[in-house]
Amino acid sequence: MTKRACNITVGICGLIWSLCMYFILIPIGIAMPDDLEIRAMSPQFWPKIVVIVSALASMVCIVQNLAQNGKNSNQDCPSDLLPIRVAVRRVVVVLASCFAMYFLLAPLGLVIPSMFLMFFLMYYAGERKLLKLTCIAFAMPTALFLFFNYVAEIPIPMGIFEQLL
Amino acid sequence: MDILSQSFDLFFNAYNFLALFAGVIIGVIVGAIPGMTTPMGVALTLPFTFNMSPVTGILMLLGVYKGGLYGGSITAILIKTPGTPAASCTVLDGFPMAQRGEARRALDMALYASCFADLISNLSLILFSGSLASLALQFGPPEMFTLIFFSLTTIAGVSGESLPRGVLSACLGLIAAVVGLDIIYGSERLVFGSTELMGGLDFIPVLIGLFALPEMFAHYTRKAGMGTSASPLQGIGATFKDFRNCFKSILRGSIIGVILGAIPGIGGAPSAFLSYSEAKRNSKNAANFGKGEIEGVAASESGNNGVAGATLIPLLALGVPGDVITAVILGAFMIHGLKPGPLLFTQNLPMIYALFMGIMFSSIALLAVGKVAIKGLSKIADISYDILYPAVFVMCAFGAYAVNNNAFDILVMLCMGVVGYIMLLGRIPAAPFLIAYILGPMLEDSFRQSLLLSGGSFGIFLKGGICWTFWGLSALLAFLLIRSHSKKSRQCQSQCTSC
Repeated sequence: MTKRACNITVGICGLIWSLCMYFILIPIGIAMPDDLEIRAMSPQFWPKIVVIVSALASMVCIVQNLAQNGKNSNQDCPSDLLPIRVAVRRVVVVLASCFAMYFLLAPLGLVIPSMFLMFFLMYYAGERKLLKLTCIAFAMPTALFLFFNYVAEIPIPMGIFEQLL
Repeated sequence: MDILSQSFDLFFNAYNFLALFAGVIIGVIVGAIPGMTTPMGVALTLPFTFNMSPVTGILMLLGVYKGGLYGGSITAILIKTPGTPAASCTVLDGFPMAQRGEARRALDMALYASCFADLISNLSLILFSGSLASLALQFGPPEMFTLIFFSLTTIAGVSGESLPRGVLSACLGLIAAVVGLDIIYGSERLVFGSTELMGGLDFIPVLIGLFALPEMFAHYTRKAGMGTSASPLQGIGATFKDFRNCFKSILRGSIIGVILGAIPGIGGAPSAFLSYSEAKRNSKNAANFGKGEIEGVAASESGNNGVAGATLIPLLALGVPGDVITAVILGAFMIHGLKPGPLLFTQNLPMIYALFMGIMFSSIALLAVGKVAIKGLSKIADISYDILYPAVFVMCAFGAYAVNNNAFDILVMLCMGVVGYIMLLGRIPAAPFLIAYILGPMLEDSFRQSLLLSGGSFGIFLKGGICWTFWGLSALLAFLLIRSHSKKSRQCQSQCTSC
């Protein structure tokens, strides 16, 4: 995607977001008190000002880039990037594994899912020395657990392993 | 003379020096761990000071405070994960420098700028505590509103190549800051029934998600072997020439830090961003800012650390804590049977002088501890990114959880990571989001408090010399920044046409 097309897309997305916020999310998500005397004191007043400013900024972004000569916008294709399909798949896999760790937090605690996630992320990034991976994946969350639990005295959730300690 | 000799007796003992060094070491470690905030470090150290003498105990806490302010910049530079909110500005140039293999140079400059700003701030505390405190007291809600509005002009300075995208990012930050309960009516704002969102989005998970995670996600889209590790670091520290070149920015940042630090409630982050923006505006190398300019690191760190001594001005002179950390330190004073305020200067003058001596010495302690820390920690930049990013993620998850002992903060961090990654793809700068997120609640609160005072009249924002001064400064700065932005884009267009 060219820089110009990217800027226009950002502007359009920003405008759509601003309109959604102004007409849908703010009226639904922010309750108006009954005894409102000064309009500017309303809980909706400030977010609406912000959203109006963002809509204006988005429009400026679109107009600025539409007004530019198409030839001037430089192509932006960094050579170190993977093909788009592969890149999207990899990001989705990484995101899914991170969210999976969050959802495993209640049953398994923070330490064990962190070990598995760390091992997987390092392997997926391209590290292939299994012994090294295992050691790091075990040592890092354990060290963090020991630090937070015993030095900083912040209890780290252990899920079903709570009774073992 | 008698008072001075009493002060020397109080300060010059081995326990004070040890406590100060121990405090700075704890502070640097705490500051460098994402999720461990400096207030948390000060609060955790507080119980250990109960059995110490007042001077020793308070100096230890001040050591933690100062070490924490600097420690946040270490991880900001090395792994793009600011340990403290104020260090998020250091990321902008510090991390690109680390990627270029200049981590040691960036860390050195951050340390020198921090120590110098700390020294200036301490001197200001000693020399101007009375007059600055009385000036800070004149700041009511309308003056605060205009001051924060002025601080928001820094957005233009960190917007990168496109001002509209910077403003858009700032608006996203302002909306994120709205989430929670309304401070006046108590009604829910963008909470959508979630009890966890009622307290708003905590700063640390937002900060980590926005800065650290997008970089990790982006790493998985690069070909294997690209950016496996930074270049070697040996022998490339900051030189005296670097310091001399950045001196103007460091001095300016220190003064900004002192002024903003003396105003209760402002803190280090706005000061760092304002200092950065001013340095960029005045620098010959303005085009390099955001791409790994050493002056950017110096400016943000001096702005950040310039507040350290100054936040003690309202505390010592008036008994008003300027932020959470000074509130904890106020607690330490009270535990030791001392009540900060004008009476402290009349009743416990030798102790105050002893504290001033310790505070001055803390800059030297910071320099010594920082130099040792850099040697050890800069090796992090040599670790392969394939290992470093997963390790950073796990550290961030623990850190995000530790802030409130709440797993929901990990979800906030992940969601902000996704937002940050989308912003990265759309080349929307993250820094304006963060500035707006920090300043947004203060801006809105002072706006609404002013209107409450005036019964809804907007005329309150035009009353008094302080308001007019800040309106004038905002207008001038906005004009200069927009002009420099449009000049830059015209230059870029003409360059593109010629090639």
